[in-house]
Amino acid sequence: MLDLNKIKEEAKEALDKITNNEEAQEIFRRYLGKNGEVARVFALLKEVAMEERQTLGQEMNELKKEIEVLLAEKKELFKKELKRLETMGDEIDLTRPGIKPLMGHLHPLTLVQRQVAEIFQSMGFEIAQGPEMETEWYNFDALNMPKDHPVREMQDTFWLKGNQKMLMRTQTSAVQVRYMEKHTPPLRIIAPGRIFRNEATDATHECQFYQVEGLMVDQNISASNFKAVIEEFLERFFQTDVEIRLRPSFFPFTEPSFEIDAKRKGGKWLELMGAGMVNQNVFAAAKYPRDKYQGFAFGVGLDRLAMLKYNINEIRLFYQNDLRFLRQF
Amino acid sequence: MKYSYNWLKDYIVGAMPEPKKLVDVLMGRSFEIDSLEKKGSDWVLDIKVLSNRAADCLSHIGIAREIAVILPRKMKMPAMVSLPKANKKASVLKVKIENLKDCPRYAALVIKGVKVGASPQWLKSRLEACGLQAINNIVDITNYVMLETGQPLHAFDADKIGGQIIVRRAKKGELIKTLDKEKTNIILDENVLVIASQKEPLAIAGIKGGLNSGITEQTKDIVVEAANFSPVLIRRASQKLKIRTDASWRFENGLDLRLIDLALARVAYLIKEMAGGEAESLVNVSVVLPKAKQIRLDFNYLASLLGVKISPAVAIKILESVGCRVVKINQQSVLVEAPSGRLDLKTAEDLIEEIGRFWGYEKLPKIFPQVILAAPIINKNWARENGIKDILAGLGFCEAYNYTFIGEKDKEIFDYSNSDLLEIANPVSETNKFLRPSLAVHLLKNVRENLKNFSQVNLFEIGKVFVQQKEQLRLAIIVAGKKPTSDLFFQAKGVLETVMNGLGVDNFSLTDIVKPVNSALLEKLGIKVNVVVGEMDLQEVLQSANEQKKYQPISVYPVSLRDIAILMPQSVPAIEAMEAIKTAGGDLLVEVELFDIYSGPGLPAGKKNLAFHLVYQSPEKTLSTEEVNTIHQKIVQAVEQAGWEVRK
Repeated sequence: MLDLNKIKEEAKEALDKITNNEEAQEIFRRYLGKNGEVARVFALLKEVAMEERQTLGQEMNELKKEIEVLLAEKKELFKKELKRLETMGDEIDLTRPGIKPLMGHLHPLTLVQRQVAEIFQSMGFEIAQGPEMETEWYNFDALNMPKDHPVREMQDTFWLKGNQKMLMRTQTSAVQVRYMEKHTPPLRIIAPGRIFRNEATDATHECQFYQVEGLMVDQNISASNFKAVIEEFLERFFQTDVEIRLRPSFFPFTEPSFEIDAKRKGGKWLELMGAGMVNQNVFAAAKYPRDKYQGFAFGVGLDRLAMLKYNINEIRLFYQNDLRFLRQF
Repeated sequence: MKYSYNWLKDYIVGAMPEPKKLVDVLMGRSFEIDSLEKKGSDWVLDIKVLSNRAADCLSHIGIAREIAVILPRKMKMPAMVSLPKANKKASVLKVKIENLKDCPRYAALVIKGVKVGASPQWLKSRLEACGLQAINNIVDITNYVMLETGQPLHAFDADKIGGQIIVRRAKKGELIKTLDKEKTNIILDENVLVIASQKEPLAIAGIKGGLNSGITEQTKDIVVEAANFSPVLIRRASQKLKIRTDASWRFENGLDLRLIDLALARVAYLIKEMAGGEAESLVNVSVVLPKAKQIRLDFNYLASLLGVKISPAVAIKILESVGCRVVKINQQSVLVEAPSGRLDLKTAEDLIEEIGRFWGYEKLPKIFPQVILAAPIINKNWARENGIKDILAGLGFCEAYNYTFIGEKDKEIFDYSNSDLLEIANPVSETNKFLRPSLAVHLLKNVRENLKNFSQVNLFEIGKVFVQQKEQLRLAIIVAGKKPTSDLFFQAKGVLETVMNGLGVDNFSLTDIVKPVNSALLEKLGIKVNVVVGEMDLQEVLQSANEQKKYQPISVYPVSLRDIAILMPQSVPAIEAMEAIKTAGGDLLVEVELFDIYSGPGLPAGKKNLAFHLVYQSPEKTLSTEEVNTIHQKIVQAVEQAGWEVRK
């Protein structure tokens, strides 16, 4: 009548066969539920003789516990199995590319300006800036380029209508006297910025460019100093050995004046910049006493540096803002 | 200017380097060479002589002198005749200069009995090598001597000038026909200097000869003019008349007053040899020729400026080789007289350049300057501008660089009036007529082009614009895509809010800065998606940026959350409700988040519902429900006082 062993065997057998949680629930109901086998047997307990009741009660509790443990084991198993099933056939292909968040890109001319600025700042140069719409004085007169002199012809100039004295600066050198008026040597600055030339644009001509001006002034700055500083700059910029050569040139605001060519390891000579020793007339324009200071100045085309660095073959690409171009930087 | 290799050889005693080698030699010490071309048995070098050396080196003799110094070689001068002594009275020709400032020197050589014809082949070839056309022997010889010496010359038919030459300003409205344009009357005015007979202008001084007084096959007697004109005057006239000639370019840069003598002696020789004319008389009107300039060179300065010691002996040898004459010398310095042809030698630095380049810049050592070790002052504007760029790139925006100029077409599309724009006085191109008044003009066009390849475009630009006659630094961002305009709007605004946050700029209102681009404009531009632009003055923002960060202790006490829903008129901006809540909430209200805006069915017409999450927290204690309720009640009251309804 109270064949506990039979119940136990049956329960074990049933538990062995189940494959999921629903079935486990069913087992629970059948054996441990309110109207389950265990409850039924408990109900019969009162019909058993008192002396047997205690032992029987104990056995029944054990039976109950045993089924509970078995059920819990099964459930745990199903949980693991479920997890396994969920990921089965869906394991990560580690070779697949990741999901890229949308990333913006800086313009190559920004990148180059930053590299140049970083190198010169590490050598103690300060960054100076000036306006793009400039006065005739700072762009020309102060730089020893008098009115009605053919030296102005070296640079086709955009003049502003209605104001004879205003123009779009043709060179970052315009920053030189602006800065010197407010500072006393020793000084060393670079001035990166946009400059303009009144030309029709085509594959080789642009009406706007980027230049970085450099100026270092003290009482004994020499052409040899310039050679050392500029070679250091170029080697760091191109991250390779660079050979440079100075050729004679002419700029009204420097005397002597140089054209600087550079050659990267195994490369060709490239014309890179104009430079020279600051003309005393420029110091005079900045209200410095004559013959007290000396210094060097240079102007590098940043578009050209960027083209060399990134192997860009057409200058107009810089101002078209094609995302297929911009996203490469 | 183009130079003939064979011609240059004429003046060099001894061997000349091969043409290719000569190019290197000149590049390293003198001038840039634009090209070297073989022409028959000759080579043509295109040498870029800059304006400082125009006076002496726009000539074969000038370049030969450079070569002679570099190699070094001796020079030989070409054959010349001695000129008749200048004599005003004896000459059949009279010369009058109205103003010696306009024309400091005018020499006229009368040559009689010439036979006009074709030039010999060698002369034609040389002219052609230099890019000049052969015309007849007289004109060719004057051109030849200009290319040889640098002095422009002009030949008149003596019979056509009536015995007198007057150098004067043209009268307003006076006309002249020039040699090359027989059918065009050029209108002159008082800013133009002319060479005139008593009757009419014979030539535009220093620029172009007149048709009526020119050499023809019938010409027997000629007057060769060698003059010196005011550079500024010639330059202005040349620019005004838009006539540019080999002569005008030389005069504009200034010429040596003494060069005239050499040129006339040479031209007289060649004419005698090739056209049979005899120099009969010379008229020379001139200012007193200036004495040679004396320049002092301090040897210490030489060493200091170049950064290398060059011995005085070497330095002086170089100076002498370029034609300087030593006047005085001592331990410290030398005083020299510059050669008259070298108008560019005026200062000690000019002499140092001569010494430096002929000594050899390649020998300059590399010496780092000795300076006070000091960290450079950080340019905050530059640093902040770059900070903004980094933030925007991080948020998915690509950086654009656009033209500073806009054209007539842009002006039309964007409906700018002339008063909005700064105009360029002398644009060479239609697209460069005005300065951009806004970054958006080009950014919108960038969007249009990029939409051909991309469905979504996010760009930004930092650059100068020109408004109200002034230059202004601006930042603009643009977002374009198929998403609803409101999505793009909030994206753009959120991005700029993040930028301001990154800069440490508080309380900056972006209202009226971020705007959807209206559909009419998009249509005109041919853009078929929605676009939102945010453009702002950056200068002010850069000034108020603040990199200082200060840690605020994190409260260990729990937060209390409440929501509030406000029913208010559609027309009232959300910011007003937020401000009202914040003001009433005080310090313990640490966060106000607008999480929903609704209008439509279920709400009265013209009303909207704003829903906020409010977060209360104290840095000092756990807030009791009563405390939170009190503040919350204050907010409710404030909202109601503003005339809005708090929805329960």
